[in-house]
Amino acid sequence: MEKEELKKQIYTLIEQAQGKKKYKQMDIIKHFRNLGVSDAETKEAIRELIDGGQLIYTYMGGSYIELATKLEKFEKDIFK
Amino acid sequence: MTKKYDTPLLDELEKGPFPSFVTEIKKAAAKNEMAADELGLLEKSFRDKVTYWKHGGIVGVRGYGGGVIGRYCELADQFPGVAHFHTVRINQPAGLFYTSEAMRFICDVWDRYGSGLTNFHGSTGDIILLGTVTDNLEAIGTIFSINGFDLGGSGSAMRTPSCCVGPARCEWSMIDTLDITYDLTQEFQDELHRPSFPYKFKIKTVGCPIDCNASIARADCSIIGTWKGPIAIDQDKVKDYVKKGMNIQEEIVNLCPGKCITWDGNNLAINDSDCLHCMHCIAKLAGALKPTPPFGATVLIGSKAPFVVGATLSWVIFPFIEMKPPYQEMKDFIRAATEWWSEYGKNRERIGELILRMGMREFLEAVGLTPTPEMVKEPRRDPFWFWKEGDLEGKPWESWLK
Amino acid sequence: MPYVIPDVVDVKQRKTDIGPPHYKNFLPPVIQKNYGDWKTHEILSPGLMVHIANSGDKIWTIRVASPRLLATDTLREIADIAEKYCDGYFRFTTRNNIEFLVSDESKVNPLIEELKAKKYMIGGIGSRVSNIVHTQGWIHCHSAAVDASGLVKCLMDEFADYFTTKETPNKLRFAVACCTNMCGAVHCSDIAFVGIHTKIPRIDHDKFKDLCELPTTMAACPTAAIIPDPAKKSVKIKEEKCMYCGNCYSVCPSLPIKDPVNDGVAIVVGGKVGNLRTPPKFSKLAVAFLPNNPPRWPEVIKATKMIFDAYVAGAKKHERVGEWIQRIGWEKFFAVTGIPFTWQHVDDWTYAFETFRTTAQIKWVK
Ligand code: HEM
Ligand code: HEM
Ligand code: HEM
Ligand code: HEM
Ligand code: SF4
Ligand code: SF4
Ligand code: SF4
Ligand code: SF4
Repeated sequence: MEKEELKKQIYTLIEQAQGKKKYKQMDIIKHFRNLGVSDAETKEAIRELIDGGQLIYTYMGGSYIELATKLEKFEKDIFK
Repeated sequence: MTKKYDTPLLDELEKGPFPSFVTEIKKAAAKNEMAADELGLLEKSFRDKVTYWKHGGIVGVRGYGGGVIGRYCELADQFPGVAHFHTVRINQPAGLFYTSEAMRFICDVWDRYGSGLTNFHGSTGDIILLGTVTDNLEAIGTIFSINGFDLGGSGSAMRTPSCCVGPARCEWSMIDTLDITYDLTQEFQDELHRPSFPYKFKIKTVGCPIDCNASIARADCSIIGTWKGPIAIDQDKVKDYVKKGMNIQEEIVNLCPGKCITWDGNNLAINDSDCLHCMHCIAKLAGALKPTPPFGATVLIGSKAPFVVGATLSWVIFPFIEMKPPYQEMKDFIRAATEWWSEYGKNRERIGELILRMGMREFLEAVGLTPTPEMVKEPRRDPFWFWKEGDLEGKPWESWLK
Repeated sequence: MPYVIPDVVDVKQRKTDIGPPHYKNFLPPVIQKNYGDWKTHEILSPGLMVHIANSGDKIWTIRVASPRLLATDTLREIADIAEKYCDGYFRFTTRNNIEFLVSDESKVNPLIEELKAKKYMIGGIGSRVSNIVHTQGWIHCHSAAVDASGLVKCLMDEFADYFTTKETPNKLRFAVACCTNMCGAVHCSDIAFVGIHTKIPRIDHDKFKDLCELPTTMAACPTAAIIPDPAKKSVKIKEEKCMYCGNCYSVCPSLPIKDPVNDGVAIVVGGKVGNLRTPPKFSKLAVAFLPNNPPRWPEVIKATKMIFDAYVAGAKKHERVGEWIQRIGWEKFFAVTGIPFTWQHVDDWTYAFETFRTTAQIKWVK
């Protein structure tokens, strides 16, 4: 799969799972492994999304990868 | 002037001989608004006997998934200075050595961007800088990095490796604990900053079985220096200890777990083939006895705190491994072990727990090792063992029955 | 190396994955020269030791206590002292002590004098009490059942003489963990203190839907005490199964477990990490509950003294607390300390069977 396309698909995967399921890095890698994408390619695409600020790592009883927009919402909600 | 609180309960803890953490908070509070509110909040905790912190595992520095511990206060209205009170973990120099200049630099950064409060050090080994706000994090990360410091690990990742003082100032260190720690930290930078494991993974390296960094109790991977040569004895120095009043029979011979030392009042002898390499005689007769090469390490895996099945101590994987730069065998082992664990481990399952769940055989095969008696205290006692296809192929008994 | 803090920080300059600075930058020259080539060391007094290299070079170490929580002002003072006597070189121990590294013998006594004048507590080397490894407590952690720094201060005040002068049969290591997460390797210390809860978590059903995920929350419970409550879109906790570990609260903030009255302190004893003589040992339960009474925790201090005094009186030279108990037996331990044996002392967790006595070998203590 072409890298930009892969990045888009990873982002969509996480976006659509919001509130239902949380993905760890390995879960994403396994998801795309089943679609024939190599582990290394997926890993690199995730890294670019995170370096680019679209995705972030979160830590809630284990580290997950989530949308970067979550931080702002989180900091607003936490003082409620 | 910063805000002032009445702190009768905490003031009580400024009395007594041991240096007071309350005095420390007060010093910082005199010039820092965050520290001032931390003091007020802590007094409230002491009065109410509960903690007032909220969890907050989202903030960080761009690109990294660790190194910042997000914290928010439940009573942000009353104590606005600590509404955000995040911790920054800075990777410590191996061996915890500093210069005055480096220390002043750290202080300058923390007076400017944080509460002025620190921990030297956290239990994992990092420099802990307590109390800052989300908006300062990128600047903090940048300033440390242009001065040669990096963040430490947190989350489901490789944690900052740490070690004992080792060859820098200890005659018993049989491996270069500082170099190993520095080298492994550099090797696993990606795993340290970008959490990709099921849970945390800690490496602690100590130079000898005395284990001054408690590696066997609190590292997923414990690297403990040891030796294979005989224990060299300087009989004259042994006699010096006798002159100073040591009872060799009681304090050395009787306490040797290998029951391999004899003393006839004049001559100390050790049957090295029964030595368990515990370090007792060497530590008590410092200068008189010393271990001799070959030097290497015993590598153990699996220790962790009590959650979930109960606490574990690390158990032996490599009875003896050479530890010479570039430590390739060790690095390959850590990669193979963490890859296997990432593949099969559930969220929050430590590598030790996975090994217990899947069996030592699965693990050893994944990292390419075969079992030896040094890995166990005793062989199994139940009769329920498993066979894999091929275990009896080629009639393995024939080779050793010859 | 000159350190710089720019007035205006350009975050684009940030370099990633550089790791820590190389330790060589911080080693005193005498250590650099004799690295890995030390011959022996001598403990000259409870806070002073000298290491002697094969080359004949020497380095003196002066150890002082630290509360671990340090203000920048104090760190600057330490840096100034180190500059005056140690060419700017000092270090910390894994038990949070500060060590001044002196290369010039003539500066040893003046440094000690200055430290004394500034009220630093000197000691901790050899067979005695060293500093206490501990966790964050109310200073910074959401899961604390008891404070850590406060308890450490009270313990070290009580046993200060054993840091600065008096000896114990072997090293005695205290540790404090403010909850059962036990960040500080408490499970292998001579005498350790753990914050505990005694009541099951309360359930905030309204917030559960927003804050928590059902599967993760259920999976967090080591005893499978958490079951779904579909009517409330929340969970129920089976009281008889819950062991108050607080694991679920860590994963789900709407299951608070903290409780000013029912939280308390447990004391566990007899752990060790070194391989000397006997293999490393876990700490075992001595006192199941003492009340959480800041600022001085008098009940905890009193119980600790009972254990400490019995150890000092009864142990042979070089015996750690765990080795002493192993020799005299647990039935004797409870007899000589005067601590009662209760329901909570009998294990009913994962490894319970291993703790039952499968022999008729028993000591009669009364
Ligand atoms: C709201 C903000 C939260 C923050 C800032 C936060 C932060 C942290 C931190 C810093 C740790 C210690 C990490 C370490 O071992 O180095 C931790 C541990 C933990 N957090 Fe949170 N957390 C937050 C929320 C949550 C939530 C909502 C959950 C559950 C859904 C959670 C579950 C846990 C658990 C189970 C641990 C146990 C320790 C571990 O996994 O290592 N946290 N948290
Ligand atoms: C399953 C076991 C553990 C859990 C659930 C856990 C959880 C946590 C949590 C929630 C914090 C946040 C404290 C704060 O607010 O700063 C924390 C801090 C920390 N933990 Fe753990 N922890 C565990 C085991 C350990 C162990 C075994 C170690 C050490 C080897 C350790 C080292 C640390 C360190 C260094 C910190 C930073 C603060 C400090 O030094 O006290 N943790 N941990
Ligand atoms: C390592 C494997 C085992 C060894 C070496 C072993 C050995 C023995 C021996 C020596 C006896 C005493 C027999 C006698 O002198 O009368 C015995 C009795 C017994 N074994 Fe085992 N055994 C093993 C496995 C098992 C297993 C797997 C079971 C059941 C699933 C079992 C069930 C029994 C029972 C019920 C008895 C006592 C009752 C009887 O003798 O009728 N053993 N075993
Ligand atoms: C610079 C710091 C330290 C130095 C120089 C140091 C030095 C020593 C020495 C010389 C011994 C052997 C003494 C003997 O048995 O005669 C020893 C033993 C030991 N140290 Fe340390 N130590 C340091 C820090 C620590 C820390 C931080 C811990 C634990 C967290 C620790 C735990 C131990 C333990 C468990 C033993 C074994 C004692 C035994 O089992 O008998 N040490 N240390
Ligand atoms: S673990 Fe061994 S080598 Fe390391 S400092 Fe302790 S005694 Fe020395
Ligand atoms: S190192 Fe331990 S087992 Fe070996 S001779 Fe010395 S006391 Fe005995
Ligand atoms: S022991 Fe528990 S309460 Fe204390 S710092 Fe660790 S997680 Fe927090
Ligand atoms: S406190 Fe522990 S045992 Fe009780 S319900 Fe929560 S996770 Fe389960």
